[in-house]
Amino acid sequence: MDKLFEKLRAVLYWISVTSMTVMLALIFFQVVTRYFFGHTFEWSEELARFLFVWVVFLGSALIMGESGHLAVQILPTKLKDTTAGIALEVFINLCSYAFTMLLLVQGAKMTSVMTFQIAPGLGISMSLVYSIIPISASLMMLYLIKDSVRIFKQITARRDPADTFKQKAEARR
Amino acid sequence: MEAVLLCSFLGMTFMGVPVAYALGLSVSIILYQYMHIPQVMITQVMYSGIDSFSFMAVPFFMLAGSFMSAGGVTTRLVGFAQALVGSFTGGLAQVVAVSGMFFAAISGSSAATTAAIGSTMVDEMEKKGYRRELATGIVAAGGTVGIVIPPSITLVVYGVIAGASIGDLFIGGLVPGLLMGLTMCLVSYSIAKKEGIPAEGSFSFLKLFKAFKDSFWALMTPVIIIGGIYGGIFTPTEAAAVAAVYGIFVGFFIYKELTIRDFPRIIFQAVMGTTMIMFIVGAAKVFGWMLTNLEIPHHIGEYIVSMTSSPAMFLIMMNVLLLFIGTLINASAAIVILTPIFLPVATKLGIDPLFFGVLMVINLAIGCITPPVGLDLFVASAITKVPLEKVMRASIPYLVALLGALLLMTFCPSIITFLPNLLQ
Repeated sequence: MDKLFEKLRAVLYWISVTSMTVMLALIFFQVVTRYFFGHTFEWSEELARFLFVWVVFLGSALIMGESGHLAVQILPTKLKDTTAGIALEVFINLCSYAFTMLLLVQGAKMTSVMTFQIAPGLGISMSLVYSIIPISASLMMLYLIKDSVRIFKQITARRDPADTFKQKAEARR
Repeated sequence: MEAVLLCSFLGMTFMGVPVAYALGLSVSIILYQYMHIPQVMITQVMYSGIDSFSFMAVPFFMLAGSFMSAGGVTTRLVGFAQALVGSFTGGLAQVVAVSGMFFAAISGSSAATTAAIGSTMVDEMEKKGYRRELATGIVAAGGTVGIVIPPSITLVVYGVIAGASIGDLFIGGLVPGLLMGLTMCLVSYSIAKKEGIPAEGSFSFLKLFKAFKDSFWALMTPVIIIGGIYGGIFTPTEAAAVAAVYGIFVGFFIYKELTIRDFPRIIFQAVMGTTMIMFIVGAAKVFGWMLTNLEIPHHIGEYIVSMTSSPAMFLIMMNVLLLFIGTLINASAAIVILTPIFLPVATKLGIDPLFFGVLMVINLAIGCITPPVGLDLFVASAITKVPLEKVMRASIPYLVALLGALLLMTFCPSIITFLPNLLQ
């Protein structure tokens, strides 16, 4: 499973880095062409904006494997490794599922409904752009499952030391 | 309904649910429970919040800062600061404050500024007789100006949300940033006096000129950005893109410390930084949409006006609130959540939106070194491995002095608004 996530990260990493590079190049050359030739392409700003949206949504899946989305860490840090702390982690995990599910379902709805909407500059269907929302939501779901597995292991591991302690006590007797 | 929205958001946030999720979910609860509006509005509004040309300045300014620091700009800026103020009492501590200001002028975030000067300065300060925890505290404080001095990612975010001119906001941040830097220099002076750290080296114009020549290309960055925006050559987003490409140019061809192999790592850093801010921006747009739907800013405004009609009282209350919030979350995230709530109140009380925005950003910047959880304190402590409590104690004199500067600016709005008004 770890291998799968490594591969996933590598793919997302390169897609997002490439998109960001293209974005930068587009906007930079927009300045250059306007300044020197007095002309800009209609599609260049639009394409850059769409890439920006894609980067943000792909990144929102990727960030879950890195530092995580921005959260107020006071309570989780304070309660770390206590029973309440693990309950809190379960709660956070469940809320994350709820939000990701919201993105997945509503994003998919948006993608399937908006097929008629056409981007004015590029002439592509907007549902192509919107499709990143359900795509990234499913990727986020994968990271959430990974997180759930980690929490589950933590719960079972907490039981273990108690068991081994009992076993040791019995062995001593 | 209003209470459910605010309480569910605050509750989830304080329990440690990622801020963006808490924003989206609390709106979803209201839609589900009280309104006949389909949930698909959430993704729609979120999309429209992210799909914005102006916000593209955020990743580009991040790229500009990272390309420059990877390209060896930091050491040169520090060198210039050293030649400028190194010979004063508490020289190195002053150098930190001044190079913080320089670095702030090429990067748009406080954490990046702290990280850049922290990794170069702390060891050197320790060698020259500063206690390591003192050095770390000074570095943490020196980074605060990162989001005040233009370019500033946080001011970009405020400009887009409030519909204010980003160019004017940048100019507005200039004098307060310098004032904050100067305040920190004074504190450094008195600390060094007390600790008995001798001044070293002597001032020479030759050295200064040489250091200036070395760092000239880096110092041109803010000139290009501000000059370009004000000269009407390009929009803030384009200015950011030009600055990023300029950063590549300087690091690659002039200082020659940047290599192609660094590129993916630097760009990926910008991807992560952008995502962290923009995902919240999108979710906060949904939250803001619901706030306006329920007329919450209006109610809060009426409530505040019923308590006090004095803008000064309101600003003091804002100062306290923002300092607190600045310790909890990233400044840009705080701006996107709070601006839709409090900007209408501010305008109702006759406060200039430009002044209000810059003041909010200054507040959040100071929040970065406010105990117990200021962000810069964490960054500095992570770099130098000095425990957090010790960093906090060392940066307290700076915190107090900066709060004094904040009060001064609260009651003297012209410190902030003078320059933008002059240039208009």
